[in-house]
Amino acid sequence: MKKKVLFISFVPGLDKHGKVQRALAPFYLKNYLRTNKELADHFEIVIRVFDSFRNDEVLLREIRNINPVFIGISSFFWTVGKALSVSRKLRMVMPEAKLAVGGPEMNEKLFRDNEWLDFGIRGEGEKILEDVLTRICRNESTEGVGGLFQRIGGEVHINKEDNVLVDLSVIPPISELDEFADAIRKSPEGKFPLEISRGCTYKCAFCTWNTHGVRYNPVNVFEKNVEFLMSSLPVLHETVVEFNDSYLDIEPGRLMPYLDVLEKHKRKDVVFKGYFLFRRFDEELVRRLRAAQFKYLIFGLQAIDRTVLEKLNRKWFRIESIENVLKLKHEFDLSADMIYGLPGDNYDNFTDSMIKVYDMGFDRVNAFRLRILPGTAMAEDGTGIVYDEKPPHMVFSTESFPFNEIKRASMFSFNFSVLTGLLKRSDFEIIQNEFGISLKNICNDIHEQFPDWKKNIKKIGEGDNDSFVDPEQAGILEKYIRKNSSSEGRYDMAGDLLRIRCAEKQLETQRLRVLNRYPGSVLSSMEEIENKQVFLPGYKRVESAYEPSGFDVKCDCERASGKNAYILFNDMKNERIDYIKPNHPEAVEVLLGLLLKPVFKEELTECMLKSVNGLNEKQVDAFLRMLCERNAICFKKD
Amino acid sequence: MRFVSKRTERDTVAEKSIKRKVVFCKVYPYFQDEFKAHSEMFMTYAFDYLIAFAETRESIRDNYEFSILPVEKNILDEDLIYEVSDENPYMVGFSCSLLNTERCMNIARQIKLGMPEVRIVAGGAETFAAKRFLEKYPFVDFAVMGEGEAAFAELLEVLYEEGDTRGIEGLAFRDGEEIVLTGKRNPIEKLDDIPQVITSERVASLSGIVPYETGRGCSNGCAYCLWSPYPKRYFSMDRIKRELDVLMSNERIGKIWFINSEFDDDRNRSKEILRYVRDRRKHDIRLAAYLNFDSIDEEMLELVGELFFWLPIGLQTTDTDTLKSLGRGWFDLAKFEKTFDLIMENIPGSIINIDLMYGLPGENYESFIKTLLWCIRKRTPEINFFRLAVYPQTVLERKSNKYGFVYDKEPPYLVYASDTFSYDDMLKIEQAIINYLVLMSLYGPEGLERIHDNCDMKELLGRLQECSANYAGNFEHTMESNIKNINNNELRKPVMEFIRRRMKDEKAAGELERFIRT
Repeated sequence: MKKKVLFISFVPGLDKHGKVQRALAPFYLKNYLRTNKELADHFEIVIRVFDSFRNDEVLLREIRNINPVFIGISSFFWTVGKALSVSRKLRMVMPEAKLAVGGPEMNEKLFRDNEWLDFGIRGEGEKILEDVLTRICRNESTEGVGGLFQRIGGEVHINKEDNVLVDLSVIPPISELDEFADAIRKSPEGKFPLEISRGCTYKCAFCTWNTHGVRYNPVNVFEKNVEFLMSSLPVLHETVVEFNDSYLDIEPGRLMPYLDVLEKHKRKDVVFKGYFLFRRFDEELVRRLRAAQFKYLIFGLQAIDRTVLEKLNRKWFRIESIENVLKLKHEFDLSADMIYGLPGDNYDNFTDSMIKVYDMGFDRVNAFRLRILPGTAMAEDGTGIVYDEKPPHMVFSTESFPFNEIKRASMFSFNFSVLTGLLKRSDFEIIQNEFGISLKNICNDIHEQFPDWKKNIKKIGEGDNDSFVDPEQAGILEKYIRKNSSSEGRYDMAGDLLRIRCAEKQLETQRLRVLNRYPGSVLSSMEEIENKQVFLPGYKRVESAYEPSGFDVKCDCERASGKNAYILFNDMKNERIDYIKPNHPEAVEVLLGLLLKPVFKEELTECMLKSVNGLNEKQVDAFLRMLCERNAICFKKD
Repeated sequence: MRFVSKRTERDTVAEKSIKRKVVFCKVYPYFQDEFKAHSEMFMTYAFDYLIAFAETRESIRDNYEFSILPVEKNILDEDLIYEVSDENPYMVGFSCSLLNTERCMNIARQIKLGMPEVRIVAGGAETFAAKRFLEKYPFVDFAVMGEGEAAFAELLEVLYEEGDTRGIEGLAFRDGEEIVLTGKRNPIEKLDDIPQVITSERVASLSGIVPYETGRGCSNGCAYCLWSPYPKRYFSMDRIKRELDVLMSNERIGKIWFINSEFDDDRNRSKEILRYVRDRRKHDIRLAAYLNFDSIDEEMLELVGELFFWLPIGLQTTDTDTLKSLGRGWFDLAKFEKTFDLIMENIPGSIINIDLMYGLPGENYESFIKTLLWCIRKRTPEINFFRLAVYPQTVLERKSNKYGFVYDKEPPYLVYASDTFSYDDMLKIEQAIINYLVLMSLYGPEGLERIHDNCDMKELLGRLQECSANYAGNFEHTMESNIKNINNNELRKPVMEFIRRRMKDEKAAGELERFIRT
């Protein structure tokens, strides 16, 4: 009977969301090891992906029942705590089994500190594990295996030799591994990240991707994986598939055949997302990206200040090089990543950079707190850097960036993310022109002046880059403007803008939810309304109202005044708001009540006809048509 | 790391002109859903007691101010550190129990990294082994051992006066590289010296089940417990009545759980308290408490029957030798059995709940099953199972080598094997518990007794999982031996069939059907 080798991965929240694609390491390892006949004859490789919230004792029981002779656990900074606690207990309950922990978190210190581990495998594990398991099945000593940390007779042996697969063509398509195909098909998203290459040519001080240069997967293997991916993805309105590569266009010429594959197998509802450099603007690359249905291009800028870039070993980076790319913003979604807490940087410099990058025209600028990851140049020589050696390895201060400024930078990033995630550039221009207050001003201190600001903003996930904003926050923005502006004016206008955009965001979220539920439908068509396949937008709290007899529309941009209710139209194309005056404000009340929940057109019509004298069905129909077609937002002032 | 950061004269003057801020972080475990009730129960008033006692001293009132930050699951640790920093604290305090220690210390470590001048103080069950605690967590400046009110108050005073913390009993701290333990402190003798913390304002936000202690300490001397080193002491009856009035005046509080080790160790006091609740309650407020079965008499039975929603019984095991090893040699099973029968006859069965421990010294699969069968024969309405944990500073920890325990040195300190059972035996015990829980879910205590009388219950407990290939797919494992969401509808057929094949007579098998719960 074959002995069992168990590979384990942990995913936080797996039992709830089933996103098995976040734990691919065991599949990749098995996929490679199955090519070794000697190992395949000797071992049965078992894979388990566990929810890291599950109780350790429940997991131990399951592992004990499998009874493996070798247990390998992959670890990232979000799962290493679980990997260590489970492995520590495994040592007690299965003292005879060999225990290995691998992944980016493994480093010499971690291995030395956790004395129950037999092996530590850092980075890519295929080759190292092949060597270790081969020695074990031949009853040979594992001493001397390259890239392996191990305990021999209680003594720690650290081997830092390179031991990775240089030629990725020896790895079969992951999609042909039955367990993988099953797991992906059973997962709700049916999705996994694609990978064209491994490694990176740049040696950024905060990263470990650069250890072994860039190696490419064979195009035919990539194609098989793409084919499988396209067949496993459920049909939705839009699915975004991300690439794992450090930068996809390190060598633009080498990218082309992979783009051809994507174009060949493209599906209308599947778009792609990945990191790009665009060190040189390349029309041909743009054309091919478009054809391959790339939609989201991310630029890992990290910093733009020359001194800071030098400290990051990124002095090769020139912000000017991507200026041309920003011309593409009407056809791609362009975002930039920045880091705060970097050595050589400080609060003022960081916030200036954020604003500058935003002003360049990126759709979004995301900021992340610096993490000093094990094995990076910064971890090896972090002079003056105070950081947490424990995951998630956050920086706490540097010589130029004290903790208090990191805290402020975090709040700045949070405010920046919330505001730019909702308001449009033109909105900031209005605020700046009308009240002399800039985006930077607001991000700097709105949370200090109004501590309630954060109260109704719910962060989504770790970091500062996504959030749910309660429209009530608009009142705080109004107060902020009132307090800080020296000019006279309609301060509530800023609040109105935020309210509108909050509602708009919810509308968009709702729209996508409906479209994903009924793929292929067009939300704004009257036909869909008649077919009861459309939910009208629901707002948590709506202070706005539509004009029921809105067929008499004049988009004259004239702002309604006084206590009148008015209608606002999102002119998305021109990023501005249009206003009209209402004729039946009482119908607005009815509508508002109904809009608190998703509601079908028939219910709306019936309710309005009952409640508002003087309306007929035709008018209501026309109004609803307008509502959908114009993406209008209701608004009413008390 | 210095235990007191170096301060300049200017700092000292500045500090003296404004009050020093002490922030307590009330930290719930990362996986709060499973443990929230537990955490709430034991952390509800810990910081209130510390603050109330400290503020009896003028020098502290004048120079310190306090706040409590609740740290729920949904707050990211990163955000919490910023929140703490916004308070500009002089000191941050944590109460570390078994389940929240990991998170407490993650937060404390990051506070120290960001604000190295802030003093970190920890207390709670984890700091009984204070030296080990400080060795393990080098960013903690002070650990208060045992009941913390007096030591904590003295610490604040001494720090303010820049005096010598060596004079504070019940404290561990750092002096350069050295860890200093100041020696044992006797607990507060008169509990009424701690000001009343159960006030209308304090309980306004409470609802549902609320914990309440009428006294502290325990005389049972159980080897696995940290409660025993402390003598029994009581709050005054006047105070208890005042506090009960406050609790009973909040209509949202439906239940009070007396969290004393044994509520009725003084029979007259406990009866007076129960009578008070019975006579004064304005809404249907119900009670729970661990009782000492020796002292149960007719009146107590009546009071319990009328007032209690839950009557937990800490039986742990029926094995005499094991009881002795646990320091519970005083436990008289025969006497207990009589009282238990009396309770079962007089009190609605559904409120009774027996605590059993497994993985005990000298125990094995057979002896555990014997205890479980005793409970089944007694138609025990509900059993809570706990795997033994070897807590630091307990008698059991000192004797762990003697019993050959293999146990985790990290919270929650669970035992995995010993000289008398292997880990596989432990899994066998847990499988038997799971099988018992499935049977209970399907048949209830009466049905189980019927099965016990008509077939080999021991075999059934050991093998019920064989009744269906998808047996384990019909419930969720939560912790060691606990399961939830048992799918009775799916399990009833295979389980019934499995039992039927083992029953002595067909008639009994037929009768069993009527006990099935769906």
